[in-house]
Amino acid sequence: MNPMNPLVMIKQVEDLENVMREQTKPIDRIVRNILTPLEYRSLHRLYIIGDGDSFHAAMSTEMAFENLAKIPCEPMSAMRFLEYGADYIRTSFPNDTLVVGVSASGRTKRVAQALEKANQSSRNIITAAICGKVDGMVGQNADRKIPVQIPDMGRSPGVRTYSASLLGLLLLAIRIGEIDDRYHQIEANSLRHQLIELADVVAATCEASKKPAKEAAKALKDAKFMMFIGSGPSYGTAYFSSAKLIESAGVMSMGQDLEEWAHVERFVYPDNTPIFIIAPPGKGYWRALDLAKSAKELGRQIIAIIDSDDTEISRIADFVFPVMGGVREEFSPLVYQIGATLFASYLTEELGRNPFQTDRPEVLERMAAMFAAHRTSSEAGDHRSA
Amino acid sequence: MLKVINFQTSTREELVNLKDKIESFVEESKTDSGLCFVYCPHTTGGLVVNSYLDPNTPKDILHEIDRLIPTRLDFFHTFDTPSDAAGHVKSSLVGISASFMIDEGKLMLGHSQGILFAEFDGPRDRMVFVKILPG
Repeated sequence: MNPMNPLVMIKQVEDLENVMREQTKPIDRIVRNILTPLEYRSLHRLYIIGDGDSFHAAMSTEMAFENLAKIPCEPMSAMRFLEYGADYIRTSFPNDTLVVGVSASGRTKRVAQALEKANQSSRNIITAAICGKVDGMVGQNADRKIPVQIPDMGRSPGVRTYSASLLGLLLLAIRIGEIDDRYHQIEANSLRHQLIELADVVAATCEASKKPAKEAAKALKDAKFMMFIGSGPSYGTAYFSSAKLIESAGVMSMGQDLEEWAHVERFVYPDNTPIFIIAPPGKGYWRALDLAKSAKELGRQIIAIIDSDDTEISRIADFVFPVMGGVREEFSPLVYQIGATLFASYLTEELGRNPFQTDRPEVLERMAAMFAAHRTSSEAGDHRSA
Repeated sequence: MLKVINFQTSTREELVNLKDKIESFVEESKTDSGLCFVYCPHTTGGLVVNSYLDPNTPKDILHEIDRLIPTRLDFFHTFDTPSDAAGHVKSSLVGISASFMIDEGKLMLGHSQGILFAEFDGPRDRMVFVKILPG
């Protein structure tokens, strides 16, 4: 396997605005008719199943389903759903439960198995797949399919695929709320339009984040461990951002909820451990501000991913990755991961590494053999390109 | 002479009386004799000419239209919402235009007749065109 170029991930970030502009309407057209109005109205709960980035997308969109569509939503990793979730779903009447499997490649084995299990567990459950390729095993195991296809840009940790999955899920949330009369179709269309208009915010945020992300990568290159914290949708963003850092730069990092960090990881050494605080305006902001102050007192190096107009956390932060425009909190995962993803790419360059340890082919081969021996290779090695 | 009346409806279904606005326009036009053509450019709204004096009459009209075309979940038009689909059918049934005679500078309307915009999928921004043809 040839080493992956860390710059491909930067190109992916630069292309995110096009994903927003070009994919929102086509995905929406599919989502509108993926269920009949009667099926949409029958839904009373939702499970979103994924692994890796797809699980992070599920975590990131929980608020949209619960706050916009007012439907209880449970994001679950595929393994957890397969062995500890599906058996315990209580359904009461036909089509009251929707299980959505998310897989960028469409080939994630455990997600496919989770959908199969959901189908077997009750006839009241509808399954749907949000995939890059719906003819893979995930799509084959789903009753309904939402393709979220984007053109290939070369091998790299997935960035655009994550945004495409987010779009599919957010548009599904908007549709559920619309058909359930939570808001008028004019409001639903306004929400859809906001997603398209976010392309401008994405583009401006990408440009504005490059310089501070480069500077932060230079300054923090010796750190052995980094934290990403956020709540609500930003909890998913924290997980995703952390994943990109690990996948690309091979630096150990961790995503955590704001309050959990205050209970546990604040005790980590060394004092100057970098901590990325993801704090869009919204419900969790007040706690992010509190914790930014505490973290500063503890000696942490703070990287704030915040609105460009923020005047509070920005005063405390060592580095600010600004988000250039207002974004409603439910949609914030589409934008608030940009600075961290750029940082991961620049740090990879600084460290002279290649994503997914592709600079060490012998290690990769050993790992592939190990996974094959345990018959789990299909999904674990599924480092799709996009 | 063309006038555009812009207004906003406030609920899912309602009848909005435009009679005063249309009569004012006729008066402003100083047309002694002719036709007043009222046109609604919407597909989930319509025009109804009926009594507005007792607020229960518009309520009855809407209630009966709703009884004939309830908001079901099995309409073929599923791109938008079920209430939008029902609104299209209701609009088709009640119609989207009405013509009135003008004589001695006044609309020839009956004592209790109103010119009612029928909202079938509000609240929305709406408009109605009014054209006066002297003659």
